[in-house]
Amino acid sequence: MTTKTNANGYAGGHAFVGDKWQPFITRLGADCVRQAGRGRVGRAAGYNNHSRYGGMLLVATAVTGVLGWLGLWLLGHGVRADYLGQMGRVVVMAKQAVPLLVVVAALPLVLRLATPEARVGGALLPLLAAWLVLPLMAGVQLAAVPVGEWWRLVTAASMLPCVVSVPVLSLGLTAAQIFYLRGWAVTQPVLTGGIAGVLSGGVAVVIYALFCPEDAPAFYGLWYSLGMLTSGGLGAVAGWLWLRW
Amino acid sequence: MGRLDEKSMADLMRLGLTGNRAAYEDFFRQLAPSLEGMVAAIAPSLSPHDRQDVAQEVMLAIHRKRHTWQQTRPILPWVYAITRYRLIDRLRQLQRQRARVDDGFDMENMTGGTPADKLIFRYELERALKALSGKTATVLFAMGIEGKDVKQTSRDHGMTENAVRLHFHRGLKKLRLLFGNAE
Repeated sequence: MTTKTNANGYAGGHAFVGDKWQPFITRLGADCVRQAGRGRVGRAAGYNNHSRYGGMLLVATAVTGVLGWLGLWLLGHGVRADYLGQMGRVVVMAKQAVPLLVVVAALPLVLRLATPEARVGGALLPLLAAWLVLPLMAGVQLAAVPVGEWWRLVTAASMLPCVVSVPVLSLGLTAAQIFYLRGWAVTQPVLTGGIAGVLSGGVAVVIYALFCPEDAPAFYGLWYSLGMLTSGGLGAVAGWLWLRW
Repeated sequence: MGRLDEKSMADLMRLGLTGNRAAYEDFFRQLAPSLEGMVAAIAPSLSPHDRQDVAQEVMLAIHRKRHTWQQTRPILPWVYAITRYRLIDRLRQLQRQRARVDDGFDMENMTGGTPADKLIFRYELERALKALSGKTATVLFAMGIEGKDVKQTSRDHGMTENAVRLHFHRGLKKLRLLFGNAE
């Protein structure tokens, strides 16, 4: 038993447990000395925060943006030539503003769920509300036109690229987040992975919207929200696979 | 879980994170008996060896994840959260190990309930049957060892299905009492 007074002035040794625990606890104590001031434990001894998470998200976003641009360009989809001119229109602005809202709502949830004692409960509502904006916009436009028009509005030439691109673009961001979260102690792996996936889907939509030529809310309201949901599903699977410990 | 003091545990861990070995070891010395108590409460039929194994597994998890404690927050909820997560996981593992021994017995449907319930059932059923008597023992033997379902048990032993269920649950309860504190 180590009872030596050290720099922190703690003499220790005031609790007694039977001999059966002593070898095990001694091993933990050896680790404690060896790992002090290094790596994760070193950072925790100062003040543990999530600054690295923001950095990783930004890097993953940049990489996804560049690779996504390359990929879409190779497939023949360039950035919209008229984007700067159109951005001011509400229906065009919403294509990026709303997914960004989803990202902002999901971010604190992911960070909260990184620690084991986290419970989200009602904190899910802002995320749900942000996600619901797009389907609602689609619904409003569809409600205003006769049912016969719906199919034409909802499907468009770029439907397939849209449906595929968003989940694909979300993969790198989800991977980065899963990697980050593995360094923490997630006790709700599926929920945490799912929310991280929705966040990635939001970022993916913001990127994809630069290329997306469709400005009808009936189209993007439906497919963007479904895209984020798919990304969330992928994230949930990733959480189940890689966030358990 | 026994009485753990929030402030002293937080202080010990805080010092431990800076490399104070004495404080760190004391943290686990305080924790160990409480953990054992908790394991014993949740899974009373575990052998002392398994009980210690589960408690050690939890402590190892706390050790490995110690950097995830946010020092501005209370430590005990954090400790309990990791404990709950690892405890249930470890009990399931033990249960699977036992399940491999006597295959083909559907514990999920037999007892429902917590992993601890199922463990109890698997672990000591055969021994316990000797301590039970009459219809309760017959029902437990039929369902637990022979793997019959409620319907078949009631047919084979001339009891109503409700009586079978009643004896089954009474038997489980008795097992828990008989063997919960036996070791």
